[in-house]
Order: sequence, then structure tokens, then C-alpha cells
Amino acid sequence: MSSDSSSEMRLQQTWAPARGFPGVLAEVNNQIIGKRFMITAFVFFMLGGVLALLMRIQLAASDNHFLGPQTYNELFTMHGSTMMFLFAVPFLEGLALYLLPMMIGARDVAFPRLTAYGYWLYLFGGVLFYASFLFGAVPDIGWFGYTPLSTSRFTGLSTDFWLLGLSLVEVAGLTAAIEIVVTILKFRAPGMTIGRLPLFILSLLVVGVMILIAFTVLLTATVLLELDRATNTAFFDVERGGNNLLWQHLFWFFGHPEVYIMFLPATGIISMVIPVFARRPVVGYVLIAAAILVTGFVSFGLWVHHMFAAGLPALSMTFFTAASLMIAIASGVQVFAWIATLWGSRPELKPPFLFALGFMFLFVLGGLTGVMVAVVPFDQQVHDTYFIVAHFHYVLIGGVLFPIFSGVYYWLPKMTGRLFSDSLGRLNFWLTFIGFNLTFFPMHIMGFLGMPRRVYTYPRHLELDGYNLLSTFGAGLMSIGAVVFLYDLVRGLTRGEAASDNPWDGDSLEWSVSSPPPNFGFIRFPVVTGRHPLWQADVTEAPDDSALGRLREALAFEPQTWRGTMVTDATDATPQAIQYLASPTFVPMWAAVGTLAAAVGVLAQAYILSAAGLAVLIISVFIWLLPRESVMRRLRESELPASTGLPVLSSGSVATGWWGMVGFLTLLGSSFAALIYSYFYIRLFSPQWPPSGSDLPNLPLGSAAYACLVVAGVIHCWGMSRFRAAAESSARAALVIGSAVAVGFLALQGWDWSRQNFTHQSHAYGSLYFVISGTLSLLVVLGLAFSLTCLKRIGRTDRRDLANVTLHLEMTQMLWATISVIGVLVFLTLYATPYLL
Amino acid sequence: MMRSTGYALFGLVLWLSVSGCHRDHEQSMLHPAAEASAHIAWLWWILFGICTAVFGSVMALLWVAIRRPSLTSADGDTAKVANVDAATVGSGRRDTRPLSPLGNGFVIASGIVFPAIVLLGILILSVNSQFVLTPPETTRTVRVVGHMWWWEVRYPDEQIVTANEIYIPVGEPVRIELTSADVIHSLWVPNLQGKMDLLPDQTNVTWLQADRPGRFRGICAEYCGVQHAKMGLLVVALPRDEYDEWIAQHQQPPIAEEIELVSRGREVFFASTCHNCHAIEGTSAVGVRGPDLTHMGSRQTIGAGLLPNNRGNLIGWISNPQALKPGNLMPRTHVAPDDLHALAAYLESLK
Repeated sequence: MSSDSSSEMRLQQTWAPARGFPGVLAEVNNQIIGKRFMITAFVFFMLGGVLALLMRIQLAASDNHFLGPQTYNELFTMHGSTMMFLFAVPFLEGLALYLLPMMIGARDVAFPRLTAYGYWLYLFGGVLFYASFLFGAVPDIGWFGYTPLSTSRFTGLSTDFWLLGLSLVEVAGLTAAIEIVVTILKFRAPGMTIGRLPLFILSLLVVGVMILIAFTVLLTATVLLELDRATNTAFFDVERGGNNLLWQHLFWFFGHPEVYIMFLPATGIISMVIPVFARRPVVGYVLIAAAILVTGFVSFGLWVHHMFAAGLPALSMTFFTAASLMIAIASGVQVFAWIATLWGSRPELKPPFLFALGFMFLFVLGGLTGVMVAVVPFDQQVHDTYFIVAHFHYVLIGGVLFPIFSGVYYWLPKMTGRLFSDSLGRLNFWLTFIGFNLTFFPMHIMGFLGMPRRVYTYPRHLELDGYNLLSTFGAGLMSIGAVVFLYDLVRGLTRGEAASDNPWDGDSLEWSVSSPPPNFGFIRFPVVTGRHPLWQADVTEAPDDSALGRLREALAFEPQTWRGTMVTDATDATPQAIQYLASPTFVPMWAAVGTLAAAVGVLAQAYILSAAGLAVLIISVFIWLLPRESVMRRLRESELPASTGLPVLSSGSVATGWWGMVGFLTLLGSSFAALIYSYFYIRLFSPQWPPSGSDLPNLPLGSAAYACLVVAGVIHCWGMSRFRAAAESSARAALVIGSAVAVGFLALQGWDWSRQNFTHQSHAYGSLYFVISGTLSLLVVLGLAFSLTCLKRIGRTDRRDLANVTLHLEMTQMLWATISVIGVLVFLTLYATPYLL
Repeated sequence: MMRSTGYALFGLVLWLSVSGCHRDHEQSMLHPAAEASAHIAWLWWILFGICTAVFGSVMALLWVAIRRPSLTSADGDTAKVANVDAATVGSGRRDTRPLSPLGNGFVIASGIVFPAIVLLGILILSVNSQFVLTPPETTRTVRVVGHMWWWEVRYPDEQIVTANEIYIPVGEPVRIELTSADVIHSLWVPNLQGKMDLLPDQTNVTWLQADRPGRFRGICAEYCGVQHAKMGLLVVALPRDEYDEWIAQHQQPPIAEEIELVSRGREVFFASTCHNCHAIEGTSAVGVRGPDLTHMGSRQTIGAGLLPNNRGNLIGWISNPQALKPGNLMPRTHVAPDDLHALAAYLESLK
């Protein structure tokens, strides 16, 4: 036992949080960063709530003069953007980052430094966004930023604050998504097959993939709009052949999945809470899992139902009605599975469960009004009225905030080690629930009686004063609820009783560690044999004489001198390797500072600052990604491979890095899909393509350039196979030749650029041509960086690092293969289709 | 308590919808004055009925689920315990918790089959409505151009240009062509028709038809900048003969009464900056940035549906438009009070 306690001490030292200043800035641990995410998101939630209250005061009476139109428009823009981008998604990401390793039996998430980078970007983006108040340039274009109102013809600096602040937050969302997906795929405890994932984790897995696709499209759209504003391209300029509905398509292709990106983890929380309060396994696990998958998938086919009044063809709208109704079935399955779980279970009405019940009431109501607005003619009446405001607040507050409250009350004892007051929790629930209904139910009727959205006032003769006053009163009640929650939080943290490890008799793994948990979560990894591990007899114990039992003991307290966790197979969760995890480091923060500087440079049109920021970012990323000798030495000298039979360096689909690369490539694919979609969308509405005065693209030159790209990809793949065959010199030769051919592409593409008689500013065609081929060229430069760093390592490193070099080369090859495929698509789009269609 | 709140709220909507008949309701989709809007209102009540029934039954089921006496399948049925899968059986472990008496069958029946039937019905309803609401044949066309924050209204066949008011004959559909001079707007006249966006990129088409004479208010429904809230318009449905009269009158140049105050007002109009932005047919005022004022005197409102058109309001508006509609493009005019009075009289005389 004494050796156990000294081992535990050493494990604790290794995982000790960074202390003092500036140590806290170097923190990378998932629990600490997760809490920072949640606290920051909660602060933004309170800010967004204050903005909402101010709006409700303005609207309490007709023709009110509390706020002017400009201020009101700024407030609703900030309110919507804050709640969507700065509260709901980051809060759920924070909760996920915090809980995820504990729920699947790991010690941290897959890429600790990426966690930290994401947090800094989120914080910087949010602060940049709110800094607009200091400059008197508060965004006033709505959270949807429709063009042309958001172009430079109609709005100034304020829109740049909106675009750039949110871009940083979007990148933060993407990093969290890669983090979540890879962690779930690679860090699950042995036995936790995909079919035994806790439903919250399953929803996170689906949502992670959704974020990768949807956020990338939004990021692409915001970059296009910022290009229009900063460099005078013509994507959204009608005069020069641009198209304004393009923005709406891109925005809602993100915007609708966004709703489910918030909603699915929320239902995941409910699926954790309800079985625990029913004291029995969830009914219809497979059906719920299928519902989550279907929802995630179909949510990408719904975006047009935000555009029913935009004058689109009727037939296409019918398709979107059908898809919208289909998603209602998936939601229905979940609701009835929860009801079945609760049937006759006499649950105790404690705060987590009360909020889950409140969720069901509000969400079913909001879901039903959602079914109504899927009906095209009805939507054409209520679209952009207070009926819609009511509908989506039922879905978002009822469907997301209530589950968040449920989850917070449920997991707070775990996070803090304290118990919170049931009676204060109930008081918060009733204030929030009644306040919510008083605020938002009357809004349905206001919509019928002619009140459009986003109006700072309304005339007396519409006779809407009564409803609005009721609504404002309800908002007041809700904010009292928030104050009660804050009081409960402070009271519990300072005076709350100590919580046991499993105060709710929960079934999932996080309840098996102490409350509050140590930074590393588990000393010995748990072994899972069912969907409700803690409800199964002696479940976390594998028999000591089994192979798994021996591995478990060999890995107890290990690795001790560096942070590490066990890697398992992506589907059946059998042990595969041990993964090194980074210790606290300032690199992520510097990378984020560089990103922020690059964004601020664009904002202030001080491009020298952007260049400096970009340089800091690139240097940080190099330091970050290239293996450090001190780390490599430690891994080489580790005794774990001998004692456990698991490698500490891995490659291929065993390695987290490989999956991270897959995530990054998904993101690239999604971004180019959005660009190519934009190309054809704009073309579809152009009378002449290319516009008169511009020649057709040079097919021979384009063919030569893009053939280079394909050849470079093929050579890199060949190099990989040579490397696997241990022919290191031919692998090196492949990297050199492949890179040289890729440089050939850059030269030919550059030549083609120089001989055009138009620029990126001439017309939308020019903007598309230059931006798409330019983005691809940047990607090629990234590929070259990968190849050259690879070249430096092949045949020149310790043989024991072989797996790591292999991984490096594998990533390089995957990147080049993707570049080749994207290159072919770009070639067909830019060079071939103008001749064909 | 939760459910009673729900009933109270639903009671409220019913009461308000049914009892609200004594009001004017010039901007309400529940008080339709046209076939199209009546059909949508009918659709709403059908949807409301279906959804209320569904909501009520789901909540009732939830209530029963948590309220009924303790019930588990383990009561006398020890065989039916949780997810005993192959691995668990193999290692001799099983879940220690009893299962719910309800299983997948219940979820499939109530969560898939039942909603699928209801939703299929709603889909049919929706598609049917889209057919019912196809634009009728008509020869009358009005072009509406959205501006920040007013509506330019043109009758291309009748050669009439006006603003913020659309006159239509009762019982006849009028084709409305919509486009925008700046940002996206959306035309919404709830008593008559669902909304349609005004885009700078393309011309959208909808139609308006009123089954009874009356005044119906419309408003911009797409956020379009600082004064989105005060971008209103009027649709006036007149019996055919009155409508023809209106057309005839508006095809004539305005006839200003020749009294002294009016002539002085005309001098003020042309001496100050008014004509830079406004046009009056038959005069040297040809500005296009603001609404056409040719028949200003016969308009019912000023400021895009903001205020009734009378001399007091006109004077108030001209002397300080920024007080009434902050942020709109019309600057404050520095005109002496007497001149202001004359100017208003001149504008009123343009009929």
C-alpha cells in the first residue's frame, strides 16, 4: 500500500495543474480547460441575458423610447450571436471536454494542446466581439448577417468585429470537434464498444462530425464575406455578378445543423439523467442511437426551410418540408423512449430531473410549432414574426438550456465535490419554467397579430401592449431564476456538504472516480462489460488473472513521469497502445495570440500586424507539431512497452494523430465543397460565363498545372510504400521529386494568374477563380511544409522512433492524396466546366 | 402544476383568438380578407388542432409515466433484466437493475408509426395548400421596389408612381413584382397574403387580392437596417368603380389649389432642398432618393405608414424627421415656421 501511495503521489505530480502566473496560461488539462470553457460561456450567457432584458424593457410598451433603434438593433444582434456562438456551443463543448475522458475511462482528451488553443481562441474571439462596444462599432446586422446589409456598402467596422470575432470562435469549435471525435474513437476503456457508448458520448460523436462539416462551411462563408469587405472581391455584389442568396444558402447550411449541434448533446444529457432517476436502464438504446444519427444526417438537408419566403421554386420547398417532418420522427422516438424509461418508476423530483421534465414539456411544444412552420404556406405567414421567435426559444431554451441546467445540477457534485440545495434548485426551476412560458408563449400570438421580428418598437394601434408587457414580466422572473442559481452556486461552493463519489447512484464511469476527480481521472483504467457499467456487479474489475487484468495492473499509476493514457481500437475498444499527452505549455496560447493578431490586423486594416500574427502562429505550430527530443528520449526509454506489451509510439489508425489528420482533411473537404458550391451557384444565375471581356480558361496550361498536382500526389503515395518496404533512400527521393513537381504546379498556376485580363475584383467569376485556386495553392504550400519536415527525419532518427516517423510520413501522404483529389475537382470546376456547360 | 400552466396558456391562445373580434385587426393573419390568407388561417386552425391533441396526449402520457405506482418488470419476472449481451453473459455478469415494463415496441409504435401517420397527413396538407395557393391569372401588375425604409410602388401599365400605398380593386388578383434598390426587404400584408422577399438580385412575384373593401396594413418582415421597424405600408382595396376613379385621378398631373398659401409653399419647396430627393410630376422636381410626391395630398399616411397624413403631422415630419423615425435618410430641414406651414399646405394640395 505504501508503494501505492507513493506511486499515486508521483502520478499526481505529473498531472499537477500549472500554478501561479503565468503558469495558468500554460494549462492544457481537459478538466481545467473544460471548466474554463463552461465558466466563460456562463459569463457570456449572463451578458446575453442582460441584453435580452434590456430589449424586453424597450418592448414592454408600444412606441417606447427606452432604447433607440440603433441600440436595439445592436442588442438583438449581440444577443443572438452571443447565445448561439458564445454560450450554447462552447458550454456544451466545455462540458464535453470535462466529462468525456471520465465517462469513457481515459485520463485526458486526445490533443491537450489543441484544447488549450481552442479555449484561447474562444476567449479572444468573444472578447474581440464585445470589444466592439469600446469602439462604438457594435454589430447591427443580426446573428445571420444577411448580405447585402452586411457588405461594406451598408455597414462599417461593426460587421468586421462580428465576422472576425466569430471566425475565431468558429475555429475554436472546430478544434473542440476534432478533439471530441478522436477522443471518443481512441480513448475508450476496454470493452466500451461503440454499442455501449453512453448516449451523451454517442451524441457528442455525431455532433463532432457535424461541427466539422457545418462550422467549416460557415467559416468559408465568413471568409468570403470578409474578402468582399476587405479586398473588394465580388461574391455578394450583384453589380459584379455576385449573388446574395448564396450567403443565405451557405449560412443556413451551417445554421440549421447548428440547432441540432446544440440540441443533440442536450438530449444526450437527458438520456443520462432520466435512466438514473428512473433507476433502470434506458429503454430503446438502439432506437435512440439511430434517432441521433438520423437527426445528424437529415439536419444537413433542411436549410432551405429558413428561406421559404425568398422566392425559391415550389417543388424544392416541398422536399425540405418532407425532410423537416422526418426529423420530427427522430425527435419523437427519443421522447417516447424517455417516457417508456420512466413508466411507473416513481422518480424523485430533484433539480436535474425537474429540468429534464421541463425540457420535455417545452421541447415537445417547440417541436410541434416546428412541424407547423415546415408547412410552406403557413411559414410564409409566420416567417420572421414573433411566432418564430417563440418557436425557436421553445426549442433552444426548452431544448438546450433546460437540459444544460439538468446536466449542471446532475454533474456539479462531481465537478465540485459539493452538494447543492435541492430547494434552491427547485425554486430556480419554477422561476425559470414559469418565467419562460410567460415570456415566450404570448409571442406566438404577437406573431399572428402582425408583429415582425427585429423591430425596436411597434405602434399602439396593433394592440400588442398587453402581450408584450406580460412577456417582459416573464423575462424578469427568468432573470430572478438565474440569480437564484448563482446564489445556489456560491452557497454550495462555500458551504455545501461534501458530495459522495456517486450521489445520484449513477450508472456511468465518471461516478466511479472521486468527487471532485483528480486531474488524471483514473489510476487504473476501468473495464466495461455493458451499457451501464456501475450498475453491473463488480464491473470495473477485470479478473486479475485475465490478460486484461494483468494489463490493468501493469498500467496502474502508469505512465508515471509523463502524462499518458491508453489507446484502444476505434470500434471494439481493445487495447492498442499508450499515448503520450502534452504537459502544460505556452505554445497554444502563443498560437492563439498570433491568430488573434492576424484577425485584429484585418479589422484595423493594419496588414503588417496580420503578417506578424501569422508568423507567430506558424512558428508556434511548428514548435507544437515537431517532436521534441526531450519527449522522444523519455518515450524511447520507457519500460512500459516491455511491461505491458503496448507501444508508446504508434502509427496508422492506432495513433490519435492519424485520426486528427482525418478530421483536418474532412474540414478541408467541407471547405472546398462550399467553395465549389459557391462557384456553381453563382454561375447558375449568371447570364454569361465567363463574363464578357474575359476569355475562357486556358485548358492546356490548366491541364499541365493540375497534372503536376496529381503526379505529386502519386509520387508521395509511392514514397510511402517505399518507406514501408524499408527503402528509405527511395522514400527520400520520392519526397524530393514529389515536392519539386508540386512547386511546378505553383509556378504554372502563378503563370496562369499572371496572364488573366481580369482580377479578383473584376467580377464574381474573377473572385471565384482567384480565391479557389489561391486557396488550393496555399494548401500545396502546407503540403510542402509537411514533405520537407518529413525529409529531415527519414533515415536520420533513432530506430526506436520509427513509428513516429511513419506517422509523420503517413500524414504527409494523406494530405497529398487529399490535395490531389481536391485538385482534380478544382480543375474540373475552374478549367473544364466553362467549356462543357 | 406544469400541466395546469400548459392548459392555462393554451386556454389563453384560444380565448384571445376567439374573443379578439371587436378590434380593427388591420395587420392580423387570423382575420383574413382574401382567399389566400383565409386558406392559411384555415390551415393554422387544423395544425393547431392536430398539434394540441398530440401535445396533450404526450404530456398526459408523461404525467402517467411519473405518477403511476411503482412498476417494474422485475416484480415476479426475474428473467427480464437489462442488457445482458454476449460479453456480459460470458463473464457471468449482468445488470442489477430491473427493466421498464415498456420496451422497444412501445417506442416504435408511439415514436415512429404514430408520428409518421400524423406527419404524412401534414405533408399532404402542405403540398395541397401549395397547389391551392398558386398565383391566379391576372392582367394587373404592380411593381414594388423596396428602399431603406419605404416602398416605391409603380403601376407600369397605368404609368403611376406612388409610395407606401398599394391600391387594388376588390375581388381581382393583382400580380405584385418585387425587387429591391438596396438590401433585402420582405412584403407582408398578413390579412391578405403570406410574405415574399424583395431581393436586389432578382424579381420575385406574389399576388394580392382582397375579398372585401378595406384598409390593410403591411410591414417589412426582413431585417433591413436601422428603421426596419418603421417600414410600413397600406393596401387599400376599393370597389371597382372607386378604384378606376383613383387610377384616373393619379394619371393626371396633380392639381394644386391656387391659393396664396399654396403658391408660397411651392416657392419654399423649390427654394429649399426638397426637390433634390423628391419628384413631383410636371415640375422640375425629379429627385429619386425619396418617395415620389406627385399626389402627396391624397396619401393616407406619411413616413411609410408611420403617421396619418394631416397638416400637423406633415409639419412635424418635415421640421424634424429624425425625431419621428431616427436614422431615416431625410435630414432635418431648416425652414421658418411660417414657410413650413405653407410647405405643408402645398403638399396637402397635391391631389
